[in-house]
Amino acid sequence: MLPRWLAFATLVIRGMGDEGWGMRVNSAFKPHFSSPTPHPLLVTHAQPQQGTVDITVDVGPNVAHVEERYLLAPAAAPVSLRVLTRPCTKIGNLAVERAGSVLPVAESRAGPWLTFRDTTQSNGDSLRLLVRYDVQPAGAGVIPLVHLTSAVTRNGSARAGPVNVLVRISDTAARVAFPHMTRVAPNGWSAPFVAVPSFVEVAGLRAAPCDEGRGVGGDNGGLVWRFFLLVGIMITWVPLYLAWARRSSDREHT
Amino acid sequence: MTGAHLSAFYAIVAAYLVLVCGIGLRNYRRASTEEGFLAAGRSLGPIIGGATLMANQVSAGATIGMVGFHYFSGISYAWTWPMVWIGWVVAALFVAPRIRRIAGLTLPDFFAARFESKSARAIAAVFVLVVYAVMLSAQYQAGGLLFGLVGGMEYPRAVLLVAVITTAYTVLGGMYSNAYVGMLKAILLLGSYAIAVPWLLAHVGSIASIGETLTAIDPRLTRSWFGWRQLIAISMAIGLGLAAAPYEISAIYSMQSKRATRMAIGYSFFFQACIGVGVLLFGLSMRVAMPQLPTPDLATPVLGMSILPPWIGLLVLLAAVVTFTRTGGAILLTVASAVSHDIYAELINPAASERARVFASRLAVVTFSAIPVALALRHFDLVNFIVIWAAKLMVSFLFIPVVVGLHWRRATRAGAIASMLGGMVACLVWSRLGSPYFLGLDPAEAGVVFSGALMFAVSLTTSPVSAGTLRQFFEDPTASA
Repeated sequence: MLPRWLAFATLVIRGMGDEGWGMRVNSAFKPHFSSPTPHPLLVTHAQPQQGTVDITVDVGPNVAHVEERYLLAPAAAPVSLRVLTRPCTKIGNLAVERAGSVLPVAESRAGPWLTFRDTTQSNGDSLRLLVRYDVQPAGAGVIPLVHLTSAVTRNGSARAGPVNVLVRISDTAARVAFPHMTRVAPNGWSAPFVAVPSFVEVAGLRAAPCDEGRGVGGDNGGLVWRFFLLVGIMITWVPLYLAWARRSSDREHT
Repeated sequence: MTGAHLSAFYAIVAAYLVLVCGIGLRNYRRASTEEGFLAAGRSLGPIIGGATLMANQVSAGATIGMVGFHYFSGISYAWTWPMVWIGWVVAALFVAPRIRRIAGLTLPDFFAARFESKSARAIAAVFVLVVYAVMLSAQYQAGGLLFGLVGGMEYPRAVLLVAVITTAYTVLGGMYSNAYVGMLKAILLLGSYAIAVPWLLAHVGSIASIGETLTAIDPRLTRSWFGWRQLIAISMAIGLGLAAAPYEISAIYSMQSKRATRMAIGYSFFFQACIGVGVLLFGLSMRVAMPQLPTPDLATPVLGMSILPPWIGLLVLLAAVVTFTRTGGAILLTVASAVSHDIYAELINPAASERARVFASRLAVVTFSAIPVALALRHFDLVNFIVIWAAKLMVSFLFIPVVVGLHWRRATRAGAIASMLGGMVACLVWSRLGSPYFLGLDPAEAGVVFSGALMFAVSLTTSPVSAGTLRQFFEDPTASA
């Protein structure tokens, strides 16, 4: 049993949340992250086998074939997936299967993101979801990975994470440059993650050159000028303040 | 993270523990007086002083929590950096020069000296004890998350490990250890960010392409998730809170001179600017690289563990470990000084010998390191929300009594006590009533308004402190208020 003072402190501190004494934080500030709710399809804690994702990327000379196997809990939410596209990189032959049958999906685009939604609106009464697609990498050898639009919640083994990615590259001179993965075979790279990376980058891949640049003309929401304004203010502030501090201290000395 | 990398991570953490304990042992003798233990013998120069001020401020709230904030809310929160700096300018102009006139060791020393009041000292000491225990728990929580995720350690064990590292060097070298570990923290943060940020941008994309990607997720990420009203409230709480924050006041007492203090604040701006930009780019890049993290507080641990190449990742993770253990050390020293200096040595046993005072300080460091462990195990909220909450209480409680007390001769003991308690109660009540702005005021703003109103109203109706006391702080104590 907690000592009385500690119990009191605990009550006070517990009250710091939205419900009690303390700084009430506008719910708009606190996104779903602050108390992460697992995707309805990804119940992880009750059944440790569920909520895992195994992704295999087979990188050939011109095309990469990706298979993502989700082990899910039954849920009412329709499947929704998205992928971060890159210039010149083509994604095709996408198929989403649940319990062996292919789900019809509707495709929509927002900026560089492509979203695929299950149009049947059916209940997710199956535990297995298979997503397959082909990627034609270009330029820097980036292979975008499709992922569910909701957060994957960590399972019991936090370090291992619920997402396992295996990349097999036919060209043994090539290597995975991003994210960090461990070489498990002459042509195999593997790593566990707590969430699906939005892409893997394979260095040394003989991908088609790409002149089309992202970040040219797209809507960056004013991030560029905001960032450089902020940096500019900081860069200006430091020498101005130091000059003032030196001069005012010298003046006081004399 | 593979077994080899995991071993490397624990090896560098062990090396760090040995290094900081070495720093503590090297300064053990110098920290054998109370002034040495709590104020580094008032020996800190501008650069070490700047690193100390930065290291106090840049806590787990920044390297773990703020990266998470940028991850989920985009760029807008970064505007708090320059706005918080206004609080530092207030400290340089209105707090540091005058507060250094008394040879104090702690903030409650100022209350006792300025308001001739043991009660004011006791109230301030208890407040410091409670609020800083909460802030320390945020450092432990961040450490627990990081060690849990990276090292696969159970959360309670990880929290204990962080508490042990924090306590070990603080108990040995006091403020000396904090100053040198602060410099180590500055070097590690700047070095690791200088390597990691360019590497990350080279793979994730330019600022413009990150902007495109984030705008398509949610336009508020690149514009204003937080409105100016909210940013000003948060910045005011943190910035003005810093101007009167007990651990920053202790650092100011530890500087060689007024000039060293002012210059140190400037150098801390430089450190903070580099770290602020790094933290922002980490958060934004991680949202692109891994958009569906289960919780934003994982952004830094996952970056170090799963995204960056091992040796860069290990540097970033070590910098995070140093961050929360070093800020934890500063908080712990402040909490311990409130107990050993303000309560034991000044109120309970004023005749205590120098040796007894230092022993009490070391005992308090060990004892009060344990309480936040219990709080951290409850895992209350996102790390940065805990830090912001504590900052709001701090500014409501301390800002007016410190700044007005230093600049208004007519401020009285009763006025200061009413101001402290009234500000704190107003802040708590406001946060209970407001969602988020009751009567248009943020809880921190309400706390400062009430604190100020009570300070002026009560001071004008009570007797002023003696001319002798005022002489310590003002050139002409008889001049009109």
